[in-house]
Amino acid sequence: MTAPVLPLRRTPLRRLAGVDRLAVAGAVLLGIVVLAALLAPWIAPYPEDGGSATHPLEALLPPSGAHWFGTDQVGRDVLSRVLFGARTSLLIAVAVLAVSGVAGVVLGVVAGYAGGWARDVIMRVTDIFLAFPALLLSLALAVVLQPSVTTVIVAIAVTWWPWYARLTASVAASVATRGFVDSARCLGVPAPLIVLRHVLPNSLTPVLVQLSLDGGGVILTAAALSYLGLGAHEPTSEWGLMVQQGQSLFTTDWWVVTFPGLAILVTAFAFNVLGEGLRARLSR
Amino acid sequence: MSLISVKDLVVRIGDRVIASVPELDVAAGECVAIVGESGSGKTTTLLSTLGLVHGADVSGRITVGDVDVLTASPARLREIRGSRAALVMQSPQAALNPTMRLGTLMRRALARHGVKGADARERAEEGVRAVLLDPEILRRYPHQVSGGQAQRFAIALALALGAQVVLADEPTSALDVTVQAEVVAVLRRLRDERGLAVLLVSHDLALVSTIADRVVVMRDGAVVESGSAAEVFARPRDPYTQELIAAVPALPDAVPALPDAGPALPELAEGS
Amino acid sequence: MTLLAAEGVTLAYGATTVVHDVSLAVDEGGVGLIGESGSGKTTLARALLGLMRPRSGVVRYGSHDLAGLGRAGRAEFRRAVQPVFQDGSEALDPRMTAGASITEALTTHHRMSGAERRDRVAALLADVGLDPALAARRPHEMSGGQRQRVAIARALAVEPRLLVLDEPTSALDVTVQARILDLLERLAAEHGLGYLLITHNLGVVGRLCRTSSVLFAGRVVESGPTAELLTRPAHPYTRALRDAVPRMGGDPPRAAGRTEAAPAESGCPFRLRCPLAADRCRQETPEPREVEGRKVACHRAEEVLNTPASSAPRVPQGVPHDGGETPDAPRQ
Repeated sequence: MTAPVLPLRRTPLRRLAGVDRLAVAGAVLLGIVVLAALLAPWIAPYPEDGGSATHPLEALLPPSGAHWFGTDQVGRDVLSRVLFGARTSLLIAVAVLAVSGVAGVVLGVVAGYAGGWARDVIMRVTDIFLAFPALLLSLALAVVLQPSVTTVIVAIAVTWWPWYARLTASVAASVATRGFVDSARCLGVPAPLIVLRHVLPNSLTPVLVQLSLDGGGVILTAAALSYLGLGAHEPTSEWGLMVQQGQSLFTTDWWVVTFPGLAILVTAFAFNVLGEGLRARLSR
Repeated sequence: MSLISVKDLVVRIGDRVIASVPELDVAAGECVAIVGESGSGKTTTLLSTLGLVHGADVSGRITVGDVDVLTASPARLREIRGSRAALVMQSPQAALNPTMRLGTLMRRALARHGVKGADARERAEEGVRAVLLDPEILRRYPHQVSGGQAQRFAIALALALGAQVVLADEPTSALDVTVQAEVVAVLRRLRDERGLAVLLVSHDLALVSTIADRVVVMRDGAVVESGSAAEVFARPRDPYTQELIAAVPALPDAVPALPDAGPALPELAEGS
Repeated sequence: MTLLAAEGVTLAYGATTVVHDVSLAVDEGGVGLIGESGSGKTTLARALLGLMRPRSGVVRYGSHDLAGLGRAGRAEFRRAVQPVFQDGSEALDPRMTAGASITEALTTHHRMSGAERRDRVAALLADVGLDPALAARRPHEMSGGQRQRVAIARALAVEPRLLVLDEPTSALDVTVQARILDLLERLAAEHGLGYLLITHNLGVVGRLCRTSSVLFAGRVVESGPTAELLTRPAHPYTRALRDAVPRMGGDPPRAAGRTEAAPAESGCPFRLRCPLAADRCRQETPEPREVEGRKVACHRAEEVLNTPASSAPRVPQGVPHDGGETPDAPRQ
């Protein structure tokens, strides 16, 4: 097969490019947020405002050349706090996805490949967790633990992993019936190696898509917990917390709540677009 | 008169010719087989006779009855598909709507071609009987029938719609040999008794040799040999045809088939 | 010598029994297992490969019960018996290159240096008639025939004594089928390999198997020397299978009759499809018995065997199967 084949592939290629545009847009947007988070101490106009600094004389100034996003009740630069807030939000998102993703995938792949009682035990535990309304369970945990960023991560991860466990288990169970898995069993490859080498890599794609789709959900949940006073607290910059503190001022000083709110929106949107793009691309 | 006539057909994608057929005619009561392996262009040729090739440039002249396929309106093409020439695919079950009983499927197809009511029921049952199925099958859903039954139902549908040509793309390659024999026997019988024309696409030369009157051998988009089946199989000229014939797994010489005790064709199972 | 045997094996999925009390012995001469889809042949193969436990009965490897094998015995069994499935694209991990798939087989039971591995992979690919450069390709970058050859190379990597071939050619084009059969024939001769060949196509068993068993509805209805079964079937079902195979220039294949009829619940399971079914077949389930050198489960086997020719003898097409008709197909 040589050059003449190319025209045949042109149509799929074009479709691929179209799909990729979506995924690329999500990735670029997310990349900007990540960069902003990483470079916050250097690009924030008033780095010290990301923490506990106060400037009572500059409180609630509207957006201007000196403060693009205005200032809050204690005179801190809102732009600087939004940039530092990206660090908190992304840290929470990455930590939650990593913890719940790894736990869910490990349990799911074991349940899916092993079947029998191992699957029954794992899936029943999963069902118990799924039986609780997720936000309520997170809230309950956050109330019991001390309010902090770590609390938010734990509280969300606990309600998040069962979804990945269930998804991975169903995919792994179907991969386990494929010929190449039988072929490996007939070679005498030990079960743990079969799982690592064949079942896991061939089950991962849908989970990765789901993880990237869920990034936005984690950020929204984290913001909600902080908003309810159960997560990050002063003087940490966190978008949910900033929205909570600024909401009563919306009619008079709209910028205090609007910019952190937009940051949440944009980041959640970026995760979703990336996830959708990946799904479209990988499910072809 | 030819039911299907193809002249100077060339199907291109970009600069690449994926099928080129100088001449192909199918007359009533005749089975013409296009033989070749994957990538030979045999399926493309079959599909282009019904105007079903998309995303490619098709040139030449194709007529089905008196309709010029390449210039006909989409509505006219829809009309001839089914009522003149019907397609039977490799896995008909995949093409049948799983939520509809076979009878409903048949009725809807007939209604689209203007046949309704008692007339439609009669034609449906008659079509099903012609392929040696029990009309009871019309009450079943696609998943309740076997692959061989689904394939024969597809042929029955074509008959009920009044098709004079059946275009069959590897109609038996997903079936057991015993079931394949039934489908082939049905096609032979319809050809001989009703003058049905069959355009068959297959890679199985042994199968083709038992039903085809004429054969077109294709390779890499081009026709390498064509002629009467007897001639081509007895004295293949092209080395590729020779290779195809040699590749057929041979059975040791057969015992004669069981005498009359066994019906050559299945009779309708009583009450089953 | 018997390498692998099923003794009175019954297999079931949940409440559905798909294989009933089947006995089968596989030796170096090759054994064909013939039946339609749904006959239980693939399930039986899974049990013989140790992928499924019999509900009752025993699978023996040599003189050992497979279920009772220890760690070492099991490893030896795994090295000795290897499967080749219908479709190479299913049997090879889509994420692995051909080389990686073969290497996995090489290193499962032996340690090997990198250079040694590369040499063996190249040698195995050459052995199945492939360019060693193919080692870098993934399954979707190969043709169906190439994939099936890689699957065979992978199976050969552990130097097995027996291959279980499940419809190894039915997904392939005819010329590719013929070349794969040539390859299997050559490998059997060169490596002393035995085959258990599972197929619904009688055309392929003659070349690879000295004996064959015919499976209908999970029961062996006839077993004996392949040549005998193909030329003079004693069971009406074997005969139906045989008559259904289209032959070049031969008479049209005979329809076996009512293939949609389900196996009978009582009496002979085949009776609803059988042209010779009599009262006795309805009342009495036939037990396997010796008839002219084969075992057959049919009350009327003698009649099937001795039915006189009803038409003129068929003109043999081509040369008999053990002759030189094997096409000199060019290697890929």
